[in-house]
Amino acid sequence: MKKKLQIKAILKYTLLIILTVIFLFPVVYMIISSFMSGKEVIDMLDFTTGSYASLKLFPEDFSLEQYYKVFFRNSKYLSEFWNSVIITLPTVIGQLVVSSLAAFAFGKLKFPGRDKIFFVYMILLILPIQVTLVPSYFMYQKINLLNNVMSIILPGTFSAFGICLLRQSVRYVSDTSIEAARVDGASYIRIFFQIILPQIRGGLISLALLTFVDTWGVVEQPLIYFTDKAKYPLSVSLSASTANIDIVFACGVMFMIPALIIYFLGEKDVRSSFSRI
Amino acid sequence: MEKKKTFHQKFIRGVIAFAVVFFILLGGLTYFSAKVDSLLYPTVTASFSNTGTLQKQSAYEGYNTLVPSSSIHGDEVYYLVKNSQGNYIVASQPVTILDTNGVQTEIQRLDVGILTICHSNKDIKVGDQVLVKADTI
Repeated sequence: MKKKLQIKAILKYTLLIILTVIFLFPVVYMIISSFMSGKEVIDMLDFTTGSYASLKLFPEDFSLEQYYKVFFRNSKYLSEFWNSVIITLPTVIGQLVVSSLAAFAFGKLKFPGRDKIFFVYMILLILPIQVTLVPSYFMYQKINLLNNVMSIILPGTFSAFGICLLRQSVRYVSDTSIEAARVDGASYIRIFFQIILPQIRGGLISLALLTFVDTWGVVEQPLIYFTDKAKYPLSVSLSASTANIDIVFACGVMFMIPALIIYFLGEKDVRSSFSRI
Repeated sequence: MEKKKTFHQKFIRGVIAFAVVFFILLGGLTYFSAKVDSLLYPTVTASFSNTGTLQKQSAYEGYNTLVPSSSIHGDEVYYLVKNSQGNYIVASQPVTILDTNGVQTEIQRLDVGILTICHSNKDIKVGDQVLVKADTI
């Protein structure tokens, strides 16, 4: 019996290790490759023969050339990094504000047609972004939002996903505490700030993280809504075939760091929040 | 349990410190990128080539190309090309020199106009990225 359990544990951990290696490989490979020299990367990723010339696992010579080029010799990528920040930060904040208020309304307040409105709102959730790109383009053209960061920030702010996620968290808040606060004369705004918000902290951090990742990696919308290439976020340049291939790994590491920072800061709350969904 | 909590708090403090340094560093590099560029890259003055001749009575059929004499080194003219990122790169091309008056040099006609390099504040070679003084283009 003990032996059987041991074999089971060995198999389980072997599978988990294999899966971990598979999932972490691209990230680790990107970090390792960022220490290759530009020439080494170009030689390695040479695709002229229809396959990569020679994929290497480790750099031949440890070099900081890629980082030097990104930070000191190509300010375009730094500007694009800040373009990403300019798009992402307001979207995350806006999404948290709008979604938490809407989730409170849909989750705890009673008003006619609440569930029907929520159902209609949820339909937006199942629509792929590509479906609404063209109608949105014409709409933004009418209201002069083309080539403006608001064309990405506004749809992100009012995304249905955040409301759906936070509504689940809000529903875990006990009705009795809200009713007690009402009896004591607290307004809905006060209930929202003093009872709801502290109890959905995990959900808010999860939403912030997910919205950050979603907006940080946005590609289609800037390509369609922005005519000025100087406004492109870093995600667009990294996915473009015209990207400077000799510094692409260092750019990738620079692009990844803010997402990792956000994750490490909210990791504990995210885990507890997802366990509730 | 207490020890674990302390480690987590230390970790979070480390992440926050790293985040602050990271963003300040990138912000500083972006803000001073123009200054850094001017320190790292040679700055050149440039002018477009012209069509014309130095001969009073041209012996040639039609006109040739006139470029600043300072852009000629040996029998090559040094000029600028823009790469896909919009940066100026030094290039050179062999030319046939026909005449010169010290300021301008007449070379065999080029099919397209080029942005010749008149002067550089640092040594440059083919393939180098340079900054161009805006008022010279």
